[in-house]
Amino acid sequence: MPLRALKKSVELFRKSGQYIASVRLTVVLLFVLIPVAILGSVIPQGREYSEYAEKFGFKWTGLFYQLHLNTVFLSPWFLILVVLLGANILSCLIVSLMKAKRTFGFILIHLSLILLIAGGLVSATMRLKGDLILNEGQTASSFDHRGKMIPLGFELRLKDFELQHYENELEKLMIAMPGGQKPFEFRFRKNLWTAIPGTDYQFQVERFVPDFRFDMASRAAFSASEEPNNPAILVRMKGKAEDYTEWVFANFSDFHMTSERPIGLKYVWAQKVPKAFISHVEILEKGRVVKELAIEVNHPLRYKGFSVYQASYDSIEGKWSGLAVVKDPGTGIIFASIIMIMLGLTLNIYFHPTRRKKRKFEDEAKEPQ
Amino acid sequence: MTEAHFLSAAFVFYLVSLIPHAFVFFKKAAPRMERLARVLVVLGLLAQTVALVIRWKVTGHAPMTNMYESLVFFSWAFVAAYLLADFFLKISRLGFFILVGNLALLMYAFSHDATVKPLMPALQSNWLVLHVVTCFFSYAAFAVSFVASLAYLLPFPKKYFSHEQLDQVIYKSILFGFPLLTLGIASGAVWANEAWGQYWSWDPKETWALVTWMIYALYLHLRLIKGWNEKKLAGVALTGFLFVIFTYVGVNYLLSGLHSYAR
Repeated sequence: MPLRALKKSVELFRKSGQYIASVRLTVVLLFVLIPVAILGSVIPQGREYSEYAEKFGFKWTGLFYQLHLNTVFLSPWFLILVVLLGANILSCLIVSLMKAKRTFGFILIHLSLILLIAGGLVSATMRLKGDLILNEGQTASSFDHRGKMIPLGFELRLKDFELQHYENELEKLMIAMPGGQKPFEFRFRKNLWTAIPGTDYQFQVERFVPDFRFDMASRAAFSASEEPNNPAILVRMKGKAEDYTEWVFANFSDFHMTSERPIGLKYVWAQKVPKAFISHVEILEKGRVVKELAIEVNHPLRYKGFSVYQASYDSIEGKWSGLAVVKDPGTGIIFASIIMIMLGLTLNIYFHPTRRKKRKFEDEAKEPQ
Repeated sequence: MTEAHFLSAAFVFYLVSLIPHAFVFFKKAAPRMERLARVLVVLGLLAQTVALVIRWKVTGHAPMTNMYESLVFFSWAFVAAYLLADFFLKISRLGFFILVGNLALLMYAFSHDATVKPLMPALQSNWLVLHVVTCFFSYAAFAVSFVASLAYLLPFPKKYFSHEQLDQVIYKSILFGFPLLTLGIASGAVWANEAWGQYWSWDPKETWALVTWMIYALYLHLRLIKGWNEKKLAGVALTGFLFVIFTYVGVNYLLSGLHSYAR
């Protein structure tokens, strides 16, 4: 009886081994992973409970949390599927190598996929990431990663944050002088004095507010949001006899002039398109500046194993910069697997020896006898 | 002459080529018409190439940064893929359907805003060209496989298409496009790591591109399994291209993510 049970278990083990090393399992896993990935893209991932409850109701939200559908790609069952796929590819590769001679390209492709999964797992478990919000002049020497402070091993100081915009052809300030025939049109820059030709006046734009509101208590202007619902600029006019500031609103576009202030101002607003966000930073070691450079989107800073990326910025005043600090040991593995898979696919598909032989044979067959 | 002139000329060449293509489709042996059709398509492709070069020069960046530009580029790649497939696999009978599809693609492109817009910081990268070119060439190859699988699955009389040949067109187009899609996804991952410090973030576009990749990987593996006949495989190829369309267009409008600018 125990012998029969043992035989049965051995047979079961052999059959499971055969199944794990079969293309059939690859196909089944792909059939399962495809709808899973779709589900993960359709259900918003990693949001707050309240957001799901509002969007889908409590019943569905409860189900999402129970089945980890709110974090599909971090869930244990997704991890099991991915590891199973890795095991399947590895065993398929071994069995297939034992059965027949395989091309170098074939081996590279399948090894790279295993490496890709391994790299993904290394990143998922060992990646360090934190955000640094730095004001100009501020220094950081560590960052917060899931509640734990990680030392950088050096100091990072934001020297200056530069927000560049494309030259905006459409945004302008129009100034109508008393008795003047045609109003002047100016493309302006903030805090830059511009003389009005033929007059003793000059002006500068001191402030821009995208969504103008006025607080009666403090008698101060502020922006209700970053949306351009009520764009306004604060214009300072300076002449020989007077010096005053005035808010000009894009939504109320007529020239406003009174008997006390006969100069008419009109603001034509247009969306400013950012060209570059540049954080000019210094790296300090033992209080001494050892490196100075600029961090931009697509141009991160790499120093002592850390990479620092331009992540966000102060869109109103342009005073602070949001930097993302990353240390990911999985990246190197992923990049190695990318090189391998591309090499493997190129060799196996575009330069496959049997396909080339077949083509040569076909060409020979076509030749007249 | 402007970009619009050359693009219009390309459109007219493709449109006129439908006449000889129709002859080729209905008549089995029409070598003169076949040649004429090919010449017209090549002229159209040349005109479209000039249009793309002019736009590149005017904008100062590769013309692949919004929906209009990418559609025009996709159409160009689709015609190039067709000519390539015709050269190796002799598929001029499919030409009529491919050209109709391409004209529809161009008309869809013309319905989008063609104004030149400045490039946002994330797109100012040398990875842009490699990422977009490889993705769209793979899409173009898959589009050829889609037309072939459609011809396979529709009840055309046998005199029009040989199923064996169509199966080869489907298979070889996918075989050609698969490494390109892989490179497209991989270059996107390297670029994302350079721009945001994360090579993969399960953004909807990334996820759907991976799903599309998995479907074509599935197609290539299903060929190895007994019982999966050519008809079923044509069905998988057809489904694969529906996923390509959703990855390309649907995700931009229905699921928000890092590729939201591609509208």
